[in-house]
Amino acid sequence: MTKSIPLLSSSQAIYLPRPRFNVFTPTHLQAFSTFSNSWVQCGISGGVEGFSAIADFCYLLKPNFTLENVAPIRAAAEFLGVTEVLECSKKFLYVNVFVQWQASISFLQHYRRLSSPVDEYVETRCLKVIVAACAKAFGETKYLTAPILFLANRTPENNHHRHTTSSQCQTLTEILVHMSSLPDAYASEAIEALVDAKVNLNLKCRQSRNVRSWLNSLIDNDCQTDRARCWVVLCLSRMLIKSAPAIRPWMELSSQYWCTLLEHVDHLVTMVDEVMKVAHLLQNPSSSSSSSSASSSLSTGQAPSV
Amino acid sequence: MVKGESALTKLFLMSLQVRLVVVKKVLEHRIGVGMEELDDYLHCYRFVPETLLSMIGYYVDEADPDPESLDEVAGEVDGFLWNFAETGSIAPDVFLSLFKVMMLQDLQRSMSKDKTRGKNLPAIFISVIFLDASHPCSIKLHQMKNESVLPICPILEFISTKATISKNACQTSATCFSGQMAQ
Repeated sequence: MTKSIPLLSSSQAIYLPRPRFNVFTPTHLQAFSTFSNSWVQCGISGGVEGFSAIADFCYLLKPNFTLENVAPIRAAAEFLGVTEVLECSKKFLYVNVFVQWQASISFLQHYRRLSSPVDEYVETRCLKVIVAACAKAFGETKYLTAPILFLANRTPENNHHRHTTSSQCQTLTEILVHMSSLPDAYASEAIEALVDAKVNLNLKCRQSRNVRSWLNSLIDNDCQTDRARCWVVLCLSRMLIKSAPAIRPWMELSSQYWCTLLEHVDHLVTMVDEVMKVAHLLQNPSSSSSSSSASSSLSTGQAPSV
Repeated sequence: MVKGESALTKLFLMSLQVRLVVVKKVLEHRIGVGMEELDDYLHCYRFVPETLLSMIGYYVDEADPDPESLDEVAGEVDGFLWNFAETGSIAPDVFLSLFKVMMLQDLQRSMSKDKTRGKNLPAIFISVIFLDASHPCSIKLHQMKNESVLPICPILEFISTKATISKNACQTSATCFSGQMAQ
């Protein structure tokens, strides 16, 4: 019969069977001893899920990583200093998350912060992957072109419209749209990094009708929310300002790019103004009795689209 | 909780607004000063009046424009004013500011060239007068646009009130009108 290890707290004692090998250090025991009525209150990063995986590991059960549990397990492993699990989680993250920008974006979209060093680890690497992909897409895109609508393989079974554009430009558009749809803190950080990356825009924003139509299509059609539109416009404008020469002529052969961006900034500033006014009215209903369509959408509990 | 959320939303909106406004100011400045670099018509873009005014301000103050490009820009502003007036999307103050900027430029230019003033009315001036195209005086003015004598029409009266221009100036001639504005 195996002996048990008592995990004592002020209110209760938990007994676990003795592990097959001794991985517990004073740190572990100290952490375990903080148990009180709830597992969540134990103070271990990664919570129940993370701790459970580490406890299993002590009994030679390797963690079964998923996109949902890898961060909590890594957080617990880091807190308890279980290097083997740290290595395994790193491998998993590199194979499944940091491998391509789509995976990184998807991971960040659903990521819940754990107030652990793992937050920075995951976020920094994901953003690095996304920014590098975006910078690469800018570099590879020779010309910016809006998608052309055409009927592809029109058959009774396949009777729908298709859009086409150059694959590089399409990739760039997709990355920009997805990056701008990230939670605000991530979108903001990604944009900062992209601006600092000093991407060469010379060829991309050269004069042509396509430049304007690409921007309009990207901002008006591809971005699904006003919030994403704001981030895209901020990103492209700041990149342009950063890469433009400091002395005139700075718009040479790219004035359409400049003017179209200003056009959109103009529109977004007005729109954010309106939303803020409505928000103010809702907070202080006595200041005005009039209501607008925007205010009604807010009062019904819907979040503003910005 | 709801209060906290709405405060956060407000804070986020404010931060977004600040970022957008900062970027907008830089774009306005760069485009305004570099207006001569535009290869397209300015009025193809849907700028709001305040943005146009800001860009024109930068252009006039910093770009040191020559008469030809000033004429071009006046034509562009004229196009905007027509559009703004037709859609009723411009505040009187902004309208007057735009008008004054362009008129003062024209005055300075014509004074330096010592031309017979009033014969080369900038397009912007004509469009101001046409704002009330239904008024008989405006139509008459259309026919007289190369004449030096301008009759009174409601918009000029309006301008004279707002911009503290003497009514007599409007009654006599475009030259006097410009002169009074400069004073």
